[in-house]
Amino acid sequence: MNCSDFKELIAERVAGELTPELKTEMDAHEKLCPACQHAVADWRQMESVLRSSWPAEEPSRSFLLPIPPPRTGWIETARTWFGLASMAAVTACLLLFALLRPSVHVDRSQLSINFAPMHAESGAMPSQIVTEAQVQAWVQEAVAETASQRGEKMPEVAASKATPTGSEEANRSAQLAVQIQMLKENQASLWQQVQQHGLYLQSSWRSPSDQGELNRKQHSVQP
Amino acid sequence: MAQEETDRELVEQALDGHVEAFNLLVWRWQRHLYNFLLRLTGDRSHAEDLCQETFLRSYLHLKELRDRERFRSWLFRIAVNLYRSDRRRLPPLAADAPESDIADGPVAPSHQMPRETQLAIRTLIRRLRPELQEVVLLRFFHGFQFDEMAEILDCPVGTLKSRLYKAVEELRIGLQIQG
Repeated sequence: MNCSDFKELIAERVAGELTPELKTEMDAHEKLCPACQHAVADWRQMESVLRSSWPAEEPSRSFLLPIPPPRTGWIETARTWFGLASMAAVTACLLLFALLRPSVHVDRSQLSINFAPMHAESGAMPSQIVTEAQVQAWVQEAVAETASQRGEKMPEVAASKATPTGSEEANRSAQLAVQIQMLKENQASLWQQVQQHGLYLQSSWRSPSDQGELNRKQHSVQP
Repeated sequence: MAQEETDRELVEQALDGHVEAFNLLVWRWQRHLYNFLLRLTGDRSHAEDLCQETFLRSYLHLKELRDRERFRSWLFRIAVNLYRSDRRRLPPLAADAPESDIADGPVAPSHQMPRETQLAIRTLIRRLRPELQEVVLLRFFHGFQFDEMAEILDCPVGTLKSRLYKAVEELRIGLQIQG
């Protein structure tokens, strides 16, 4: 080994990073070469001076990463999401029920759910449902009753039916026209009362108890 | 007494999702890395920001670390790359700019070396060319071997040796001039 080879490895020699073979060679050269001995001493001193010129300091903050919460398995995750979804579904159903207030009628044969509109007056009166046929029967009954009342007041019309003359025919036609007009007015009034009492027309089946209730109402709203 | 876990073991635990294992690595190396970046930049705040970014990136890219024994070298390589990117982006520090973060740093006891000498040497190191400065810091202040430095600086060992000798020669001349 010559001085040039020695100086190329001087940093490793000072740091003790040489292989045993190279270290033996360098030891042998250094013993014989005062210039290389001086170079090694100079290097050591330089390293020492540099290191002691700039001591390390502590950072003002830590660089640790925030630790996230422990991860859960897919079963726990699914359970959590299922629970949340169930709660949301129940809440939505309750909200829908509160908004629409359906009336539910259960029979042996069928189930009827009616989403009745909100009453303007208050929620105290429940929505009432009658069949169209019942209303028609109710109207017919009222018309018949009215007609009978009118008929009592006009016996001469019925009596004159047996032998009608030209003028009587004209009078009877006029009276019938008046009666028809009155009947129409009565029917309109009856419908108005039906609507005012919250009767709601629907072509659905009603239980016998409901029909009894309807009959009572029917009588109460007759003119 | 429990044996301290190696970097390799901690890296493997961190790869299994244990952030606390990675934080042990941070705890182990943060002082070294911060002081390396402080000596490079001469600015505490900048050094801390780079240090934080280095640890964050190393955590995010931990899977890419092939030789898990060499976590420290890989960490310093990330730091050097970040520093070089910043150096290209930011305007260079003027040669006569006041470097208060160097001057008011801790000093060795005065019986070892006068404070003025210490500050003069720091300034000499800071004024080396960046490639010489990096080699001096990694070798003398952080004890890296040449093969590790080659990995960190992405440079052949022979080139690094010649840079080191050149840097030492420049520092010696600077010290002789300052008396």
